[in-house]
Amino acid sequence: MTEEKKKSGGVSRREFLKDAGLLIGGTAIGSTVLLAACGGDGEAVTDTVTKTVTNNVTTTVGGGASTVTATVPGPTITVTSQTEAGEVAEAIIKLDINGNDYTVMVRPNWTLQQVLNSELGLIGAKEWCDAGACGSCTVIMDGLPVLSCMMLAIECTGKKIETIEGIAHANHPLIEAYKNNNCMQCGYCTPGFVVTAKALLDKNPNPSKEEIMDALSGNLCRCSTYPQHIPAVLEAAQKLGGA
Amino acid sequence: MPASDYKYWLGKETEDFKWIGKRGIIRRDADDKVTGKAMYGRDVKLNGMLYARVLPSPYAAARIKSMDTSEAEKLPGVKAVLRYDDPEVNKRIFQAWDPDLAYIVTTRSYSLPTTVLGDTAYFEGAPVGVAIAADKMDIVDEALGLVKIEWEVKPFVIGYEEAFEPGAPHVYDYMDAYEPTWVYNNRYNISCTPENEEFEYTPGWEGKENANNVKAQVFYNMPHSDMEAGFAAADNIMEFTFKRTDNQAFSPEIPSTVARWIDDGSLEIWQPFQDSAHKILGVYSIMLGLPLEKFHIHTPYGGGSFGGWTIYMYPQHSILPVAALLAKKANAPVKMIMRRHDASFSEMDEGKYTAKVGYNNDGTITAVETTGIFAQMADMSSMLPDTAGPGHLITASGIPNLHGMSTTLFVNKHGASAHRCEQQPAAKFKQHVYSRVAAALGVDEGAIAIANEGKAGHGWDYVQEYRATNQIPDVDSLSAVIKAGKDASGFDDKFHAPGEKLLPNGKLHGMCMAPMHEFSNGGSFAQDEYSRSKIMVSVLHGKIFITAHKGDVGTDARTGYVRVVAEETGMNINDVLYTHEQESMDSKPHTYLSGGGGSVVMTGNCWQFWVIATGLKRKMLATAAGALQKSVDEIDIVDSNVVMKDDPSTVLAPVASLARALQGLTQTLKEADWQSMNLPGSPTPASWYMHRSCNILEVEVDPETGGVEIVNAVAVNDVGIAIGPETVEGQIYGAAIMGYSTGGIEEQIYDPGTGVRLNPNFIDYKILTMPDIPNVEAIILESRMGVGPYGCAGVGEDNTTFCSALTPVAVYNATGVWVDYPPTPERVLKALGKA
Amino acid sequence: MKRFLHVDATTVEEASEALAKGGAMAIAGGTDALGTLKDNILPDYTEVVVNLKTIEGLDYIKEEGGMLKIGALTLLDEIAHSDVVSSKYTALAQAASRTASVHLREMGTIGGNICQMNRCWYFRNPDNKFNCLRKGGGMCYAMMGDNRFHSIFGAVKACIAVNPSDTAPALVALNATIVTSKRDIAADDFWDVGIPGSTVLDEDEIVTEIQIPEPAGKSAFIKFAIRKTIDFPVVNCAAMVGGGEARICLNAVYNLPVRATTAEEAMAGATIDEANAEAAGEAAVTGASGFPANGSNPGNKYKIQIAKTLVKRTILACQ
Repeated sequence: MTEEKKKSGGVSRREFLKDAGLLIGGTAIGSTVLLAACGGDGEAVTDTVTKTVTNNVTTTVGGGASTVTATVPGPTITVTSQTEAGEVAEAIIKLDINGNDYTVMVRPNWTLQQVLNSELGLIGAKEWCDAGACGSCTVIMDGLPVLSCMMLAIECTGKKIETIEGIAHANHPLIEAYKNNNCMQCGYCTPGFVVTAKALLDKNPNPSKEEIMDALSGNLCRCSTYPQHIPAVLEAAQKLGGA
Repeated sequence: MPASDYKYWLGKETEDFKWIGKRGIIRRDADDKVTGKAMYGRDVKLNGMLYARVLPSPYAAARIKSMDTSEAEKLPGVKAVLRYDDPEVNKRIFQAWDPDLAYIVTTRSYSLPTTVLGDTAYFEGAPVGVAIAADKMDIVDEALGLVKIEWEVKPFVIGYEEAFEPGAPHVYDYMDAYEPTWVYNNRYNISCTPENEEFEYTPGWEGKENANNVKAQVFYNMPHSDMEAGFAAADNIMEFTFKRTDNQAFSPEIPSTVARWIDDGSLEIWQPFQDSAHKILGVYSIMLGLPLEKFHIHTPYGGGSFGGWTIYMYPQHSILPVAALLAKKANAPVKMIMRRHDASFSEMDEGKYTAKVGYNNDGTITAVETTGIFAQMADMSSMLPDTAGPGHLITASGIPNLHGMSTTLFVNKHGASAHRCEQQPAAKFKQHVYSRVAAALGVDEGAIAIANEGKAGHGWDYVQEYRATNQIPDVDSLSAVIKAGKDASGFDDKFHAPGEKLLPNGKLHGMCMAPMHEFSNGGSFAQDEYSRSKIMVSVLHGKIFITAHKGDVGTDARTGYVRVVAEETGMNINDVLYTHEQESMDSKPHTYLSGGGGSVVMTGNCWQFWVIATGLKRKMLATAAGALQKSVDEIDIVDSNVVMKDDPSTVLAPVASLARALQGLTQTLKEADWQSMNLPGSPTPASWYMHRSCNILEVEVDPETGGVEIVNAVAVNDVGIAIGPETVEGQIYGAAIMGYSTGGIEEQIYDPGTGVRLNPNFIDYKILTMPDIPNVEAIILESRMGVGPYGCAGVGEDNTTFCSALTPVAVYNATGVWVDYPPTPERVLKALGKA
Repeated sequence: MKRFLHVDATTVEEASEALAKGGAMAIAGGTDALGTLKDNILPDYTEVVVNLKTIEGLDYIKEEGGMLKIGALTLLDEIAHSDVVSSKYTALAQAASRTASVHLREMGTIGGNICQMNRCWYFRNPDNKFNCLRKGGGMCYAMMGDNRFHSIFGAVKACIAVNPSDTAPALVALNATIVTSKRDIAADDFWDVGIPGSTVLDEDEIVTEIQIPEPAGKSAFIKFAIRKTIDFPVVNCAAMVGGGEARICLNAVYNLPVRATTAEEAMAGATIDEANAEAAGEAAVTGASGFPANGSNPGNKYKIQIAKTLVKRTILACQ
């Protein structure tokens, strides 16, 4: 790769990242810019806004059986720093989490898990493996249980994100069932199981033992609470069905 | 307190208790943990907090010759850089036997020597040289990448056998050759000196090996053993050797710590601990030159300790002093987080196990000689003699002649620790002795256990005497757990000679058993001044508050304490409060460590709470009697009401209505007669568990792929009485599944050419998932045989250690060939002659 | 994870353009791309990440003109649960359903799965500790190191990493065509040993569609891994046998998916039975050598036995 190719509009991207005095991490704005859950707009924060992108994404859910178009009104990404070639270095994004709009300044390399935890204080999606192999950071995105540590927050705009905090706030029957069935020891992985189980019950309200095991097979538990999850999910399913 | 006061439960049925053993009581930490509200160390965030990391060494052994941090310092967002050569970094090297530490680190010691921030790395991934704080973690990572270092790369050794050879690199080159001072007579857990007449010392490495890398050598000289005569008397002699490779704890929570300086020069820290925090604070105190009273500690929830966090563990705990110095330099709170790749710590059972066994045709074993050589094992091999060699046979069998020697070598690997639990090597020895003798005689392990285990092992006469004096049931619990396990698994119908059962699906069926008998010291609850002095219960607002600092590691100790306090005071369990404590060290009390065997079983801390609860109730009754103008002898407390003792249905007053009178009544452990909790004759004031279990494993081995599939596991435990049945079940599941995982598939792999770890991540380091172990049945027996409160015997730590020993035994039963740990496909196929 | 710049591509052309500037990495499901960035495994850290998920219309499964067409952004889970894929192109559905974990299948795309970089633990070690051949370095560290999961058929360009994809052998066995932004590539020719990539794609080339002709016979896929979920394969195998044809492909045994051509010739038109399948299995590993045990490295000769077995079983599953 030649040096020529690396350059973008005369300034190499590396130089740009290093010297552009970005807002986050630089001194322009302290450590965290967070206009929490208010849909505040970018211009109010900084005059370095150069471009606003509306990013409405259509996603197919459930094997093509039904198509859901999730559209969050208004700009979901407000770019605050970019190269001349339009490559984004920092942006203010809007995330729809548990039905609330959160507006948060991010860099493109920040994962959703990192933003939930460190920027928004939603600590339920846990970092354990940091490699997509344990399920502890599971959130539900547009109906699917996905790993927030392997997703870039900037790519999650326009999606409906559901976290353990939302599931708990709604007092989903899984919460009670998990408590009743003693499904935790150290508890670090527990929210990831609950979120995954919630996505299962949304899709399949009456799962068999095998289907539960299959759905939870990507969630690791080092304390080895595995046998206690199955009766808990069955109990919650029964409660949901019986209500 | 005389024993007669508290053996009231002897005649009581389990159902007669109000809160003990009752199902359906929700764990006190359940809501926090299920809803995601539980705050772990990793989740702590303070205003203005910076993020930081220490450079992980890319080499297994290297020293920094020079370092240029100027580029890193210039990176926007970087707030502080701490270097190994900064004046504030304490250069001293702390060692396990450091006399300055001895007074604080009372029951455990270092796993490895360490400095605050050194210039030398002794293993790949070791925190070394430089730490950087910045306002975001990505900037920290970039800044670390900008540090230019000139390394002196040094020779290293990863293999413990190689480390023992003459000419091997000297791993800790500043340390002198080891002098064998730790020598144990196992009978009473007392160390012997060369002056002791029972001592017989034979240097293990004389003339051959490299003593520079010897960390410890432990001799097991069971008194009155005559090895020669024992072997001579045997019908048969067998010798065997097997190996176990390195495996890891891989706790869920990535180690992190948060440090903040407050105005009076105190250091406020947030870090999960399993043990009483002050033990580790003692280390920090020396490292930072800060008096103990200047530490304010918060103990958030801890994501999976498994015993390992009870000791000062390098590198996990070494990041706190670095965070503290960075916080001072940056004048801001600092959160130090390790990378997942670097947060791995060896289990202490990597090694080569050799044994010679003399046994008779009737299954009785006459003599066992063990020789072990282990890698990097934590100091526990020298501190706790049960951990390796024939320790388990000494404490839990009637075998008359036992002798062993275990040698631990330093290698260029990260710190070893005991994760669930330190007795892994000893358990493996015992399981192999029983399983191999059983296979040779064509019987199952249960028959060998019954032939060789008395009601107790050697050296427990005072326990037996105590039990007899106090009418604690003397039941044949070992036979009971074996029978229950066999019934639940259909063992006798399925059992077969090794390699003889091919299933219709083309797989080989394998089955084996670990009948386990654990008499052990469950924690020296009263040995530790801090623990003993600093727990209390008080009446506030008509309810009982338990005040005790406790690190939570998931064993649900708190609910257990609440059950005991409610049971003994007569309060409704909902009126006994014990919130998760996050408080300063010197203002709040501590309990003894929250361990699997030591506290869930409630033989240790449970006694403490039993004692203070009964004391508090006496005070409550005296006060209530005064307020109600009754005699203290005629009233009682039942379900949070003061009632007439002879007619509990007559409520004199709800406790809540006497709140003003009772307010502030307090009972501490210090003023209680905790000494009486000790067993007469016991060499150390300690809690004892004496639990028995039978773990049965059923596997199918695919002879064409070498794949081993767990099809069924049954775990029977006689716990005496299950104070919290669901919690006990959780411990049983946890022990079985984690054990089958570590022993069955887990393995930390190192590059032989560089000593770099190749798989410290959850893709390449594999732990069992839910479908890999679909059926585990937990069965609880309650013989009430224990010497703990209510007859509690414990749900022993040795469930895990024996389960982790079991998979190759099941594979042997399936295939007729012995395979080393873990029995992965390459080992199985090789043993079958197919690779 | 260190910083990088980010572009949302809204069309294939935009994506190609962004990738053509160099120093860029395409991201779809992200489950492989973010792993490489988090661990900082490459000598040159990626400067810009090009998001393909914002390209519309690359997410579909349809039968058209006698062939199955799958958009490159289709999730593995959708393929695993598709009725049409399961019934007619069984090997692919089975492969998709055995890939990674349930979560990752709901994030990862078919395009990403076939383009993923190798999983050699030297290549993947954080901070580029081993600057190996696949990074432009001078040696293969696995050759002299621990190669228990590496190639049994020798090296390609002196590298002994294996192709880790589960869907790749299924696509080869089903004679698929990979459609890219530039050309159509037969599955047989799609994989390569690049620096650092694992396909023949140019830097600015993007997979857009997978096309699979209706198979002449039944197909099947079998994976051998240590665990039932999450793991990459120790060995996997896909086969399509019937209608006088046979295509059999092993993966995770070599740098590229390996067609078992001798076995195919033997099975074409032959009866699917234990004896023929067993002979085909033997034929499939002719020429496999593996690496011997050496110190702490157990070698990988055991994989030959597993490969042989999987070929046999996969053929039998095509009955």
